[in-house]
Amino acid sequence: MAVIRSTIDTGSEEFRIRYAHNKALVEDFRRRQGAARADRPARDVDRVRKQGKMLPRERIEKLLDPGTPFLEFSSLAANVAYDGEAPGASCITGIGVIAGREVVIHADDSTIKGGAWYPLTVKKIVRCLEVAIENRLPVVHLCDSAGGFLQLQSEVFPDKYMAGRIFRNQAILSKMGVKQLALVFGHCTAGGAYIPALSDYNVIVRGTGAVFLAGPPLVKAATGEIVTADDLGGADLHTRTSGTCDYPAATEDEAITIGREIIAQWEHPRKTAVDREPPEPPLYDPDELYGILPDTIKKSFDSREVIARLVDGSRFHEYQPAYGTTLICGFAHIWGFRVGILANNGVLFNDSALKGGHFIELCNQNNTPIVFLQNITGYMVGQEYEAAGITKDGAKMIMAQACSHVPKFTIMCHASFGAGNYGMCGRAYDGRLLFTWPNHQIGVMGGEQAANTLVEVKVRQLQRKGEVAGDGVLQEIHRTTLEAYEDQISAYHSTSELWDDGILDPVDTRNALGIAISASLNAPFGEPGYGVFRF
Amino acid sequence: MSYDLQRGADRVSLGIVARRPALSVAIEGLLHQVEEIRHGADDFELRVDGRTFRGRRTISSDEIQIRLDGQTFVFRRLHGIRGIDTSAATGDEVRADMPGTVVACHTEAGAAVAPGDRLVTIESMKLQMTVSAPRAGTIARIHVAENVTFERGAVLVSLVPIAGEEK
Repeated sequence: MAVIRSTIDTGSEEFRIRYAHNKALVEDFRRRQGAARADRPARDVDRVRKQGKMLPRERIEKLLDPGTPFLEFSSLAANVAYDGEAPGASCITGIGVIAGREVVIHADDSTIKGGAWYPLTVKKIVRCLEVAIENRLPVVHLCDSAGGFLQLQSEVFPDKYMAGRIFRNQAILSKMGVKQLALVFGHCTAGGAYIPALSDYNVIVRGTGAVFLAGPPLVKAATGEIVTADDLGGADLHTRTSGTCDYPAATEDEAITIGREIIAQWEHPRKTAVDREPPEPPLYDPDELYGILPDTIKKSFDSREVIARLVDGSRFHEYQPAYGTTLICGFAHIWGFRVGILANNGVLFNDSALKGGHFIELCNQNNTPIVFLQNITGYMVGQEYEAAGITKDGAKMIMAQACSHVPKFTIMCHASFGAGNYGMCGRAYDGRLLFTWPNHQIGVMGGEQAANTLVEVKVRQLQRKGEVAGDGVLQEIHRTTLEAYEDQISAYHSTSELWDDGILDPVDTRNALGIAISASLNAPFGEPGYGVFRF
Repeated sequence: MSYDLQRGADRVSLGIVARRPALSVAIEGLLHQVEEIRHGADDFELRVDGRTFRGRRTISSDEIQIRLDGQTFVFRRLHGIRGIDTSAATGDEVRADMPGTVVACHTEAGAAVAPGDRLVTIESMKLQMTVSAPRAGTIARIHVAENVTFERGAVLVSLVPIAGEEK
């Protein structure tokens, strides 16, 4: 495989401007992430400490094998929701290694409103269990939650992908033979009580851990019975009498030790066999990514330069290098795993869409996981292209992509506008994991286009009424639309709503993909098969 | 002269110590005398420290495959930088790949350009793209200006060979 020849001039003015811009974006991201992880009111932290509890991240650190990485999901979930009241959506999820097994972690964060589940908390937990199902990863639940956030119960409880889905996914995991362990550090109230109950194994900490359908206040209100939390659903009741919990632990540390020992009893997964080469760092410094990514959403970059800073030895076997050149396709290795890469290098034309569809089929035929590097402003529009069948060629690419049976991973490198998002494995297409870079923007169209379209609609509405809109009115519509749109299409809005599995510093992408690909091999690849391609 | 090769998980460093009177190669610190008996297009016969080896080899990009005694050995040259030539045979006219609008012109008639130099920035489908010189030359004419809209295939810039350059 040939090493990509970089043409980036790291001494150029353009590189310097782009580097400064993107470095600032990443520093802002790091600052927001640090705050979401650690900034808590002293009062809430004190309360947790007084109860003799560890903070959720301390628990996770003790639980994981020392020196192994933790790939955290959606650390900035809910960052622009609920007036910033629920950093990280009040829970921590991700993939880590315990007793040598790759597992999904779900940890409640009781330093935020007692660990109450906001709507986005539920979405984040459901998503991590979906990751567990798709990749057949065992799950460890670190339970410490007051239950659903009552004020928003209509967004937490009734619908298909709300709280019920957590327990449904738990049942499905168990049926698939994918193991779950719950460590009950705090309260598991109401629906939350089913988390330890539906886990194949669970451990409960004496004194602080409790599992019940209704806590003492609700019991008193319902029947008049006055009972303490410990008598109602504490460690002794559940491990001696009810059998709801398996192992009592005197302390949180002991619960973690028992938990690690339980996991050590689990059979090792027989991972999908794929060709693997010895890993090798990229030849080019990933730090240069900051100088390659543009300083505005409109500017483009050569995606080969990005590939050169993600893959082993910067080596890339480019497929059809002279055809459909606005979509770069080819084979490379990431941490030794062979992957097929599809990376946008401009607008998708008929030839690039066909090339992409064909290459996706090649990856499926060759049992090669696929990495999509999205920077797409759409499939080409216009009469000439419609006449050439741009819509049906795009449909072919979507068909091949949606029906892929190999694991797919998506990195939102820059723009994701319009239907190109679909062909390039956007969120709807069941990619195993999808990560976003801080410079990313996503929307059905760009902000400028949306504002212009809405102004045009307004002019026509007024024309039908026989009125004429003043320039001032139209400018105001344009301005307000653009502002609202800019907020909505930003990476922070996207990650707040869990349209991704988190924002990544571009230089961490290679490691994240390495962990993601390795984890994906816990599940078999499935059977290839496609629907009807419109030729 | 030395080469770093990789075979599977192993890295091999190979140095040419002397070419005359006989080829002397150091592999992992051990010296070997190599005598070339046959050097075909894709087959070879070598005598290494008195032992004769006959085999076939193919070299593609930075990968070397050696077929010897019914076995294939694959070596990779580490950090051998080569690319695939995808540059089309270019004429004197730089054309637009797609319809769009000109955002900026970066050069002017009479200027000399090297391959890869920025000529114009265009915008199409919400994306700005830089059109670069496909080869060295002198700008004969820029056919567009800022904010001008063009169709696919329109000539954006004409080049002529630099004076003294043979066509």
